[in-house]
Amino acid sequence: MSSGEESPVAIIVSLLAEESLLSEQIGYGIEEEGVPFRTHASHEDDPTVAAHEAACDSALRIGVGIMEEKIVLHHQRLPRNEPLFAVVDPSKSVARAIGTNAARLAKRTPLKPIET
Amino acid sequence: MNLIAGIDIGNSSTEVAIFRRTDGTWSAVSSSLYRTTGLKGTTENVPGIRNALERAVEKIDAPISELDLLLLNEAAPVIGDVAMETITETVVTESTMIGHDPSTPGGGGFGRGVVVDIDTDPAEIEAKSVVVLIPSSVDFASAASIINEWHTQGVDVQAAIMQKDDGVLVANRVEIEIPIVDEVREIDEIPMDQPAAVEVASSGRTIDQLSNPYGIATAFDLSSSETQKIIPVARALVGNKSAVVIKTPEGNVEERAIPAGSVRIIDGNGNSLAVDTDEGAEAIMDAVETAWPITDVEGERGTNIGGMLNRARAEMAEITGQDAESIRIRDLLAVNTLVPTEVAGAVAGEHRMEHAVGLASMVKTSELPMAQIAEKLESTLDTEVRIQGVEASMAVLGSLTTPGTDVPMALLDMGGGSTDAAFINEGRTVDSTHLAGAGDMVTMLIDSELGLDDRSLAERLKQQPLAKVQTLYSARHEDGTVHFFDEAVSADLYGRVVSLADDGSMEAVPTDHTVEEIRSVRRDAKESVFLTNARRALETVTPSENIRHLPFVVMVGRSALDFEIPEMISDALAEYGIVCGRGNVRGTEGPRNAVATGLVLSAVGGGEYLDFAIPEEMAAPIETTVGDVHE
Repeated sequence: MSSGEESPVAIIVSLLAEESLLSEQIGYGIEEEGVPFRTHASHEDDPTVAAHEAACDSALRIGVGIMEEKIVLHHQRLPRNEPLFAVVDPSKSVARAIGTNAARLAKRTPLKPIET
Repeated sequence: MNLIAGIDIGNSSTEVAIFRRTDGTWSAVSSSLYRTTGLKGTTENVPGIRNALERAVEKIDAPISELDLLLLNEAAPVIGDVAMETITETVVTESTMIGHDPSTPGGGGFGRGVVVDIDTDPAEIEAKSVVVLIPSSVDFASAASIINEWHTQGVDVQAAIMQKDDGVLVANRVEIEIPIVDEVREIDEIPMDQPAAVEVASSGRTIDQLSNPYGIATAFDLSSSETQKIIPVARALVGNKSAVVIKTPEGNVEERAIPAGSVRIIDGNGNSLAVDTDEGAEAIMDAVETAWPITDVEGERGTNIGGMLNRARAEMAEITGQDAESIRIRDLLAVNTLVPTEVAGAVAGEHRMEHAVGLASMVKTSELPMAQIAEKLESTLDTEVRIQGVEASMAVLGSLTTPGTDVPMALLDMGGGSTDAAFINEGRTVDSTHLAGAGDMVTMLIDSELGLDDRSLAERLKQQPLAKVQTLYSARHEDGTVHFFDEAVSADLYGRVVSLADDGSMEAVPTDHTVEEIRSVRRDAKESVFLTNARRALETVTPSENIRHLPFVVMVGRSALDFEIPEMISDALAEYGIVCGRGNVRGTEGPRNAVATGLVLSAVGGGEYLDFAIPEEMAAPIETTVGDVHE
């Protein structure tokens, strides 16, 4: 697995809950685009705050916050309460698309449309 | 009589200039522009005229009834139309797949082997080397473990072709380094048990085996005659990051010319010159030049060109009430172009750039029924209406109000349907010409060359400069400057090429083209139409037929408002030592309002704008003079 554990340049995925089907899909989305990422457990209770903190810690300035049924994609330079995407109860394919977009944000290529 | 309006009905917009007399001197007090209603030259234009007038009088707080006189022009009865004829095609017979360029293929390198499905029992594989086919029903984790198992059992897995966008995920989970091409939509179309070659270039590079005819020959052990046949395949793959080539027993890729019909160009003596469209634009333009001035053009039935010529005739017939058979095509402009066309028989939606010829035509009749419009307008508004002058002469008069101009002067009127030119000599007589091809042809060329199939998008890409959104807070303009935003761009603009409207707002370009590709297509289209026509038009109206003898060229019309066309033409004409620039009618209107302004000036004798007496034949209303528009 190339989840980029050692790479200092990586997207940071913040898990507010246990690893799940959703967090797995996020990882696949990022991996297929070929961008390093690493995950860590968070004690925050708001995925938006966690995503923004992750973005601030990330050398790529990109963070993802995942709760049981909510995913937030954030960029360090965005206002804390205005994430790029915040999706409640996403399907598998939407979760994967959020992962793809986190990576594309890093690659500066056009994002996939997300139906919310 | 103290308030007069000049009205110019154009193909797309109707313009008005209002002049008022104060202390014996006439000066402009208002101007306006409104969309033309109906086809130019028909009584359907009246509502548009009324709207334009209302807008203009609103600015001077006067009711329409205060206008003493309305002036119309004897509009040039010209209609332009455009068409495209593809003259080559690539046909894939059987199911030879000729390459595919997904955004994220997996792994890397070059592999060749026989195509087998991933469901196959490895014990039954007879081929020495295999290329594995992974349909969307098999997920990437299972696919990777099956490939690993095959490898352990001694099967030489050389490459994989998969349906879903999971190439990198599979590559990261297999123990061997193989190229994996993904996002192959029509994977069922791929024939089993046939030899295939797969290549994925390393990061930052493009493929070099399958884009080389000898690379393909090496992969499939081809003879010299077979190698000649696969040249189109290799050419189609140049620049790809990944590709697949499959050889089927009868499979073949053919590049061939399609019979696109011919055009017959008829000269002044009734002699006709036939040119095959597939000989390209140069051959057609040579024939036009040889037969100049041409009296008609005929296109072959069933071809796009034939259809276009008939359409132009029918439209003109409808406006003038004449018989379509009696309407003549007076000019033709042909431009070579390339059109991305889906390859017939390919399995992943591949495109090839095919050769095509873009054509514009121009029809012209003796006159439009302007008197009918004048009558209708007079009864609608209860104001005197007069047909004051010929369009070309009026445009010249209006353009001469551009500061810094003098006679002799040439006028280049670049519209949507036709490019018109007029020349006024020291004796103040005007000569004019109308040529096929203008803004609409540029739009068509951009539309087809970028494969948009969307005229309004093509129109936007013609009119607006581009930028690339690089970060959430910045975009790089096509000239290289970077613009920063106060607020983050929306997600649908991120990473995209965008077009910039006049007010600075951005709209995404929904294609995969780069800024450089679109810019180059856009500029080539503008140059091939407007540079060619500027030269042709000016040569026709210059008495010596030598552009070098022109001191002043003033550009007006809708396409003179374009952000780059006027400078392209100025640059090209600078080598002849000509002063050429965008007009600025009355010093305030830019390249707009020339005809409307000229109409009033001709009626009032120049007002405060012209320092010469307007010759009798230009100042008198049209009923008593004969139009001097040169055929």
